Amino acid sequence: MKYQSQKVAKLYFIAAIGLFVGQILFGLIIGAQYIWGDFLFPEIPFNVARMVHTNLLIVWLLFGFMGAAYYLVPEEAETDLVMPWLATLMFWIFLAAGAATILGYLLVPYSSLAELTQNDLLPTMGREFLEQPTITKLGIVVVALAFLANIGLTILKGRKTVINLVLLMGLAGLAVFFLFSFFNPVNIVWDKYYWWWVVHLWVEGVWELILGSILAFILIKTTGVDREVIEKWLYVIIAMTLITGIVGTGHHYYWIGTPEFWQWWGSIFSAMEPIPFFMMTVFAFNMVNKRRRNHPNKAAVLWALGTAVMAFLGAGVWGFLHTLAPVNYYTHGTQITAAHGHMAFYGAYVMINLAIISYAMPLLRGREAANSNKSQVLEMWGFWLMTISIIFITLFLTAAGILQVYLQRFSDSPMPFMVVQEKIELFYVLRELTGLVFLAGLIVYIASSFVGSNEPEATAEGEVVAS
Amino acid sequence: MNGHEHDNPGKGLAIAGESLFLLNLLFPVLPLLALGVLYFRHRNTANLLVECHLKQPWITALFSTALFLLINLVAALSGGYNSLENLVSIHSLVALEVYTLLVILPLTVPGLLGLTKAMAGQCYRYPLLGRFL
Repeated sequence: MKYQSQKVAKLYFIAAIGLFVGQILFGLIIGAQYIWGDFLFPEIPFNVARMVHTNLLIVWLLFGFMGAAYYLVPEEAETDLVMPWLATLMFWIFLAAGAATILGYLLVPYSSLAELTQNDLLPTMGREFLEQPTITKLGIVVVALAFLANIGLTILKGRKTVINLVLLMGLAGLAVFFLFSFFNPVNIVWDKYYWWWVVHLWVEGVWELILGSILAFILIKTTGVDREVIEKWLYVIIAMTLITGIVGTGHHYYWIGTPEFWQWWGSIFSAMEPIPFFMMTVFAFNMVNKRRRNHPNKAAVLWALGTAVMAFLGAGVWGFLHTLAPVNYYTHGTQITAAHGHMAFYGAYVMINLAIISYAMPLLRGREAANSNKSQVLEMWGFWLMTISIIFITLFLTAAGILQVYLQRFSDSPMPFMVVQEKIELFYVLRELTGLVFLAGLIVYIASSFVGSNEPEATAEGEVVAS
Repeated sequence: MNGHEHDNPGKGLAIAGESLFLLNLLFPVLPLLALGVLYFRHRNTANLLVECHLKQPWITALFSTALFLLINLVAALSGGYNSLENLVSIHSLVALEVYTLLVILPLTVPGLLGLTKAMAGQCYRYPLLGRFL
C-alpha cells in the first residue's frame, strides 16, 4: 500500500463481503421457496426475500466499487485522497442507511414502509430493484455526490491516467443514471422506459466502464505489461461497450408499448453486446501471456482471468441466447432470463469485486504483495467452488427455462404458470443444492482471509523474459 | 517464454487461423472455406506454431460446421424453412438456441484461449478434441 488514505478501502471491502453473505443466504431462502412455497412464510414472504436478495446484491457491489475506487485512485493519481475522513463518514452513513432499509423490508409490510417514509411526498417506491424508500434513495445520492467529489478532486489534484478517468466516467454515469429512479411517471410505458435507464444503463453501460478500469488496473499491477498497451485495449473496449450497450437498451423495449422499430434496433445492437466482453477476455489472457513477471498473488490473477471468461459467458453468450426479438417473444421473463442474470452478475461484477479485493486486501493488511500460499490455495478453492456452482445454477435454470417456454408458451395446449412451476421443480431442487455448494465456496473464500496469517508471503515462481 | 514471438514468422497465420475458427462459430461456412485454404496451403509446414493453430481450428471448425448443418437439417425436416416467410419460425429459433448452447458455448472458450496463445506466439492444445488431433 503506497498511500495511507487507501486504507479506507478496507472498510468498504469488509462490508461488501458481509453483505454478499446476506445476499446468498436470502438467495437460498427464495431458492427453497421455489420448492416449498410456504417455507418461512409468513415471516419472510417470497417477494420480500427476493427484494432483499437483489437489493443486497446492488448495495454490496456498490460498496465494492467504492472500495476499489478508494484503493486504486490514490495509486493511479499518485497522491492521497483529498478527504479520507469524508470517505469514512460516508461509509458509515451508507452502511446505516442500507441496514435500516433491509430491516425495514423485513420488519414492516412494504406498504407501511412506504407510508412511514413519506413516499407520497415524492413517490419512487414499488419498482423492481428500485424498491428503496425515497429517503434512502436521497441518502444514496448524497453518498454518491460526496464519493464523486472525493474521487474527482483527488484525480484533479494528481496524475490523470486512462484508468482513473475511465473509472471516474463510469462512477459519474452510475450516479447520473441513478437520478432516473426519482422519475416515476403515471404512464406505465414511460415508467418502464426510464426505469431501464437506471437498470440497463448501469449494468450494460457504465458499470462495464468500472469493470474495465478495475480489470486494467489489476492487470497492470500483476503482469507488469506496459501501461500504454493496456490503455489502448481499454479505450477500444469502452468504446465498444458504449456503442453497443446504449442502443442495446432497446432489447428491453420490445414488449412494453414502445414503437416497433425497437425490435430491430434492440436486436441488432444487443447482438453486438458480447463483442466488448469478448475483447475483454482476449485482453486479459493476452496481457497475462505477455507478462513481464510472475506475480506472487496468483489468486488475484485467477479472479481477473475468471472475470473475463465468466463475464463473456454470462453477459455475452447467455445474453445473446435470448436477446433477438423473435426469440425473446417466447423467452421473455422466464427462467432463461434468471439464468442469464445469475451468470452475468457473478461473472462480471461479483468476480471483478472479488478480484480487486483479492489483490488489495493483502496489501491493506500489511503484506508486501500477497497472502501466504496456504491462504491462496484456500481462496482458489473458494473461486472454483463458487464458479462451478454458478455454472451449474445457470445450466439448471436454462433447462428449467427451456421447459417452461415449451410448456407455458409454445405447446399446443399451453399450461398455466403455476402448473408449469411444478413441472420444472426438479431443476429448482438441483439449483438449490448447487446454491448450497456456492455458499460453501463463499465460506471457504472468507476462511482464506483468516488462514495462514502467520505464515510467510507467497513468492513469485520463476522469472519471465519481457516480450 | 515470450521472448521470440516477434521473430516467429508464423504468428500472423496462427492468429488468422484461430480468428477464422471463432468467426466460423458465429457465421458458419464462409470462414471455414478461408480456413481450409490456409490449412491446405500450410499443412506441411515445419513451423510448430502454425501447425498447432491451423490444424486444430480446421478440424474443429469442420466439426462445428457439420453440427450447424445437421441442426438446421433437422429444423428443415421438421417443417422449418419451407418458405421465405417461414425463415423466422419456431424451428429456426430452436435451431439457433440449440446451436448456441451445444456448439458455440463449448467451443468459444477454447477458441478464445487459442487466439490469445497465438497472439503470444505460443502453442495451445484444445481441451478434449485437441487430444485426438
